[in-house]
Amino acid sequence: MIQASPFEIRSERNADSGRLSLIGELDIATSPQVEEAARGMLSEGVRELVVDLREITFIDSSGLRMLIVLSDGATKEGWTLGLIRPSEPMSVFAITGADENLPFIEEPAAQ
Amino acid sequence: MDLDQARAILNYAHSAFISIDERGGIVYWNIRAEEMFGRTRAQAVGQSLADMIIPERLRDAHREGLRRFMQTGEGKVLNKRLELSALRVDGSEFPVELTVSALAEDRGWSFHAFILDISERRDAEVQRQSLLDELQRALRGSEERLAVTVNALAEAVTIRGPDNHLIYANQAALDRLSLSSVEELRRADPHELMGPYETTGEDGREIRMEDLPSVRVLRGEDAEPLMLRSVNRNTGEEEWVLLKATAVRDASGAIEAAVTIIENVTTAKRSSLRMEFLARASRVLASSLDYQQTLRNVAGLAVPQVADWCAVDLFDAVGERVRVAVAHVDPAKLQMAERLRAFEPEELDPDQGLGLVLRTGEPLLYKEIPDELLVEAAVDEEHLGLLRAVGMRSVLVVPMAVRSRTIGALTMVSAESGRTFDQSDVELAERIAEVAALAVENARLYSERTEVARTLQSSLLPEAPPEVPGWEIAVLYRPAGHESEVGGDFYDFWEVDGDWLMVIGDVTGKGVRAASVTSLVRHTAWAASDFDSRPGQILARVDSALKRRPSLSVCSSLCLRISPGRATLASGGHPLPFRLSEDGVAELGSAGTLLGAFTKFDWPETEFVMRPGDTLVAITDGVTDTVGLDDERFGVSRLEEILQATQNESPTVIRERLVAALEDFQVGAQADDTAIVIMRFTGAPAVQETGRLAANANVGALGVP
Repeated sequence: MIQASPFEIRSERNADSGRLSLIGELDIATSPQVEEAARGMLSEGVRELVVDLREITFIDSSGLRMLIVLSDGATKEGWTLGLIRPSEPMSVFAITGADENLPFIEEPAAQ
Repeated sequence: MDLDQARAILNYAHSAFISIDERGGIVYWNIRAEEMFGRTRAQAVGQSLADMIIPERLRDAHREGLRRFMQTGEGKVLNKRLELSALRVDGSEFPVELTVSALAEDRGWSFHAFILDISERRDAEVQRQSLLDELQRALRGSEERLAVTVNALAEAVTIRGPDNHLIYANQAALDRLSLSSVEELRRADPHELMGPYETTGEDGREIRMEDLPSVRVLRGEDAEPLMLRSVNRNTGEEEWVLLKATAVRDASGAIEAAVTIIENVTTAKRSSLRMEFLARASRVLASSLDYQQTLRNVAGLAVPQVADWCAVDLFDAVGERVRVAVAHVDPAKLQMAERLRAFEPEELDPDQGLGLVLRTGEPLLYKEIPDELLVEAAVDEEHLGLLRAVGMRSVLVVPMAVRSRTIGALTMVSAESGRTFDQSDVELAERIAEVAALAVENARLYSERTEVARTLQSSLLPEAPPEVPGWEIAVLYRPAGHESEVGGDFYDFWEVDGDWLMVIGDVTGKGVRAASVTSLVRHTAWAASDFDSRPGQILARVDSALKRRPSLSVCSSLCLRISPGRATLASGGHPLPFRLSEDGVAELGSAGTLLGAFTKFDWPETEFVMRPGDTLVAITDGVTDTVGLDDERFGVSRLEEILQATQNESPTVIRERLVAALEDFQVGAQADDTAIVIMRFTGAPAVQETGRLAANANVGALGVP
């Protein structure tokens, strides 16, 4: 495998809300890290999780699947997931119906 | 066999063994290192090497050396024997000998050191120096005094006069030379004294008398200590000795004689040679899953350091022997091994050699091979002649066992080197055999797994694209990663009501779980098409089937129903297909919901015309997601460019161009499965479906307008 370009997860936590900001390519190599980070936050008591996708540069089917798994988990386990759309439109959301189905939220003010 | 296994072996090395990373942080620390430096592995790993074992005054030099290597790739200390001071946990210093090697790994450079505590050797050196002083004085005084002083030494000491004759040897040296007195020594020709020994240096080259340190000292040269291996031609005994020579000068400063101290370092040298060999063998065994090649490499490593010949035989399931490797430094000798092989009986003799080892699982050592044994073993004169020509001195055979089952044997033969094997050689061979057996077993398991995966894969794909009347079809399937993993991409064609259905899809994930989802998707689609063969309906059935599974099972899929001249398609979250026509390349259809994933769904159908010569290209995202240089993705525009350039070509040609472009573009291993289906509508099918079509065809054939 070639070295993937640097992928970064920034996490912030405030009481029971948490936020994961993803930077770089969300693919087969990096998606598991995000799922793990999310699981970590949930196990620490986070009930409202925001995954900020604004700075992702690519997402493949593994990345999408990971988001579906989180969304599915939120519904079944009773916590709240919010996704912030990538700043550049990613075609995979449009061609799969994820646009209408994943819990995208609008964030009024950028940080 | 992985790094952990190699380390398990290194853990019990006679030397301390330490690995560090690029920044000098300790990553490995064996048991001997724990004893030597007084720190446990837990205390050492993760710490900086400098803080742990390097005396303060040397730390800067260590850091500088590391920095220089990282910058320039030059390492002054690499791959040679160094003597330095090291630090124990209590702050005391002691002398060590070490060899450091650098290894480039995926994560960067790592450095590995074998370290020996040489405190005792140092003490001996101090003693030796005072002895030399004593000798200097004694040479000028009486011989009795000399004899008294030197004979007390366990180490052999000789003095060589200016004409290269040995003029003195202490008792230990006389014993080594099998002489009874100094007088006998003085009468002997110095060349003759070397006669009974086969002497070679560490590099395996022959050592002549003029290479000996004492002889060089007499010539006025500065002679560094010489490590040599001597094999007694009569007894076959092998010894490693370190020769150190010093000049004895007269009052005017002229060289009068050379004193040599002969230190027997056989145990230490053998142990370090074996460690090196084991470490190299472990690396070789871990490097490949092609076990035949791996075993050939190991056999190659064993010669000539450990043996003159090394052979590996594996026994198959019914106990039949398959020789997989024979190694000898001389290729001509290898031919001899092949000729010998022709004489070997089909059935192994359960009472000797390989047969015995296979039966008992115990190692076998023939310390000496007398001629009678050859006569007994030979089937005829020619065979005997060959056996004699090999000149076997000593043979050992050790079993290669996996969980008490003997799967093969390692045979080592000592011939022209003239040495005899002993118990320590058997032990070394057993360690090698143990590691090699593991490598073979791993490779076998792996190939079985690969076989299972291939079978599973082929059950999930149609064997070849079917003959669809009026259509020319080419397909491609490239699974990613290891062969033993079943990929998640699939495609399928089947006939329904005189039309054809084509499904291409991608189940996220790999392995058996993905395979079972793939299988569900295909069977559901088949079954659904019997009731309602509209693509949108088929996708809806698959979606509900996936949602009934206990765990989230997601699949993207494209379903296409084709009939002569037109097609209907629906997408379940799958990349849309392209149509190549006179009008250029265009994406067809509209997006639909990913299958098994969402509660809001819609699978709109698109119907379109296919004119003769038009081509449909459907892909999975493995194509567009292919990673190139600088992490760039192959993307849709590159795909469109190629389709544009090949739109008048046949499906097979388009496929070959696509594959070539992907292979050109791709950097590193293929990350995802790739599937491509290319279908070209060639025109009205040749089958006589309707009377009008058939009639037209006939009229055309007759040349009637």
